[in-house]
Amino acid sequence: MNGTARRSIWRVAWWQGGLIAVFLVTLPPGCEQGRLVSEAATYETPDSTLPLSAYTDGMLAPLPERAPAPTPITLLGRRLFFDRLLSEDQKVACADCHVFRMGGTNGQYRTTLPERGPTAVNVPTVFNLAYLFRFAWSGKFDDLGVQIDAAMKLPEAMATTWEATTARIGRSRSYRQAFKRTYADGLNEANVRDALVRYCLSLITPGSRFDEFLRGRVELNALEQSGYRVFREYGCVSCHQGINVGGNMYQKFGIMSDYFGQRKDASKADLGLFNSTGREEDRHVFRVPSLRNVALTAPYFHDGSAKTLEVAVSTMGRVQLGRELDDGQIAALVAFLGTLTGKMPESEAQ
Amino acid sequence: MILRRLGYSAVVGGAALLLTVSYMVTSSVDGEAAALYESRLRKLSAQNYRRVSELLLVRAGLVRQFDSLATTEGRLRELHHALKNSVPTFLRGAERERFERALRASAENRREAEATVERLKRDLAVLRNSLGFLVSLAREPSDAAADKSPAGTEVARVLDGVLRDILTLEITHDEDAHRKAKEALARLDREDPNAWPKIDPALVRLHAGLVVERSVAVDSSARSLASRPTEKLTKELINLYLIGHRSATVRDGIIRGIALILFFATCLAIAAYVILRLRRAAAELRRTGILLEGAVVSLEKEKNKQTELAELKNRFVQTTSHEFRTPLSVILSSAEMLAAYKEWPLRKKEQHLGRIRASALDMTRLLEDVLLIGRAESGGLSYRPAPFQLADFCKEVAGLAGQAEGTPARVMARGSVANVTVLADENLLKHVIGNLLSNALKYSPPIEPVELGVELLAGELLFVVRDHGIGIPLEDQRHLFSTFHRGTNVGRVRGSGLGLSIVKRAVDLQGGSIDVVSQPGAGTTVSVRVPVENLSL
Repeated sequence: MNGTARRSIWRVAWWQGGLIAVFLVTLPPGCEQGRLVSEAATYETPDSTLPLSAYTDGMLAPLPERAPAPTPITLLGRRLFFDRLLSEDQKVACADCHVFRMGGTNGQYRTTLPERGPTAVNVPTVFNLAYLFRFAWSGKFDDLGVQIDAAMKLPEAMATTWEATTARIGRSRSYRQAFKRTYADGLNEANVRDALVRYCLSLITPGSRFDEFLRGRVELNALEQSGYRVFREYGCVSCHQGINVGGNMYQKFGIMSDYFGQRKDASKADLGLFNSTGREEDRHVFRVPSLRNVALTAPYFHDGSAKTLEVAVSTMGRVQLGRELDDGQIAALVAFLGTLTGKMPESEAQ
Repeated sequence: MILRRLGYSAVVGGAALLLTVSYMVTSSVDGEAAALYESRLRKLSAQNYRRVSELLLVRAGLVRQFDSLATTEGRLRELHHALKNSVPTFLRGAERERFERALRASAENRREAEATVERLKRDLAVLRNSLGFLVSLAREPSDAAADKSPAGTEVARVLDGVLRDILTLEITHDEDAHRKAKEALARLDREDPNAWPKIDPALVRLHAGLVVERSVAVDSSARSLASRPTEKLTKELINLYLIGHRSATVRDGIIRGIALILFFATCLAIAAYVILRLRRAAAELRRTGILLEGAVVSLEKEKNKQTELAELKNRFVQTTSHEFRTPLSVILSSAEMLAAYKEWPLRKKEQHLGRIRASALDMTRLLEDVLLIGRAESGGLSYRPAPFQLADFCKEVAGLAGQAEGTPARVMARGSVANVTVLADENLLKHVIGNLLSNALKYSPPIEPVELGVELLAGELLFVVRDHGIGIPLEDQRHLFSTFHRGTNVGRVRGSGLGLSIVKRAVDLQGGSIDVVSQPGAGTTVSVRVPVENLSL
């Protein structure tokens, strides 16, 4: 074998060694499986630093002291929330129904938006959603994203699709850039939805007088205290319980007496969870709504039939608890419910 | 052939390697993702346990709000969602099918359990509420109204009895408690509303009925939840996953091994291919080198031959022109003189005529020599043995040589070869010995004798021709047998330079050998051996 051949063999050995090295370095980790950029939105956990003794009787708990700090994603979500670009005809924004100073609702019995029919139900609040176990009045959605999907599709609301919305948003250079800055994969349907979901979950109303009372920092006045007593002793708290004063269970509307039989304008929405499960036991069953900021969110119930809080309290006492509450008790309860009003999140309108 | 096979196997091996690696990439176990998935499965199991314990705490009234239960439910839901959406790719075929079936069963079980939990929460809230109502009622009349009126006391007694029976049901749930609770309800039905001062007994009956109803419902929900195969389903799910993971890991190992083997085999094939190619190229090169070398050598030989030929031609022209010119000029001058001096005496005329004849003879001999060598060169001369008398042959040759050189007496033949008849080519031998003797006579002083020795040895004849002449210079001895080559010391002695060439060829034709020993100025001895057959024995 001559010198040239030997050199060539060395060269081959070099290449082979190099290839083996590359092979060994690249092979073992396998391929990185695509991770979702945005994992499913996680719920805020209750304030666990608080001693248990602070929960006066373990049925109610205060919200965290502060709403979560804004992140680039929630800021983007806020911009979308207030932008009429989201609706098909660009005449409606999320904020048109969910008015912040009105407790995240809009004070209407049925909402009729421009060039749209009236909604089937009263507008529910958009606050403290992070502590709801289900969404919509009937609690048919177990994911906020699905709830928003429905609102986007609803002819009475946004009347659009994510695809169309994303395309509309995509025409704005500043949106494109904002999404590019915020998400690794930039503007797409999933990220528009994600931004909205995260923003809605960040809308917390901390700092209510009742929370301060639970923390032992303020005293409730006599009327409020007596309302709180009635709230507990008469059993309101059996259902309106937990951190959100409601929103962690289902209950039948009309335990003690038939609420819907007494009304004239019955609608499909009155069937509640039955509409989505078809189970007889779910007839007239609704998600127990949160009572936080309830003083701001008139009219009440899914059908908006109670124009004032007094009427709502009275109806609840009769239909759910089997008690006729006297005016004093109602006044006390209303006074107590007023302490549940927290600090509204900042709206862009400010 | 083997090269092509190696090339094919490198290509096939490379393709197989690519396929294997791509398969591995799409279906191998991603450690991180697998760990995440397994942790989710374990979390599912843990959250299932947690739900049961939380439910029991809630049922026992030790935890009164449903938040954490709802959170657990939410986590279970999310876990199932995540598990369903990220079934690892390494689970394949039947294993994947089984796993997904188990996952669906687990999800279905979760949905049903969730509905049960929700029902339980609902019933529990109502139960608590009505219990609270009854307790507050019972406390109020006993404390305040009882002392004032007998009716109040009676109501308090009835209420306490109802409460006792219903609470007993809440605690024991046996047949007896059920019966007693129903009796208590029946008692309430019989109460007279007018006897009750503050509250409608129907409302009390409603709440009491709700307590009994919901208490039974709550416990039936709890039992149904407890009897759910949740644990079994989760365990099976984890088992199926682990089995799939293990087999995928083994498969991964095997495939990785195959890939490694394929890789090395491909590398080996490529390396062998390259090495063989190189070796083949080297061999080719070597062969070409040898061929080239041979070509160069033969070219050189050819060139030498050409040079030799050119030299030969030169020598021929030189020699012949010289050798011819001399006799021709002698002939010319003699002829001219004969023509000019017709008055010369006859003797003188004859003398010139003799010169002319001698010159012509010289030329004839030279031509004969040239012709002879031409015949020898072209193979026209051949060995034709015939018997002849050796002594006669010697005498004849010696005589002929002496005659030709004009000094007949100088050749002294020696040897005991009388009456010896041999079988050899007399003609060739004549050329040999004649030329040798002629040379010896020409190049030695006229007074010196030339010896011709003949000896018959076993199967061969040895002739020795010895003179004491001028000898042959050393450098000329190398070209002894070249045609037209003459010694540098020949002086004016005439010759063609063909004699020894003819001798050499004739000896070679007979298969003999020739040996020349010479010393310049001292003489030359030439020994010739030729094989013969002694016919006289």
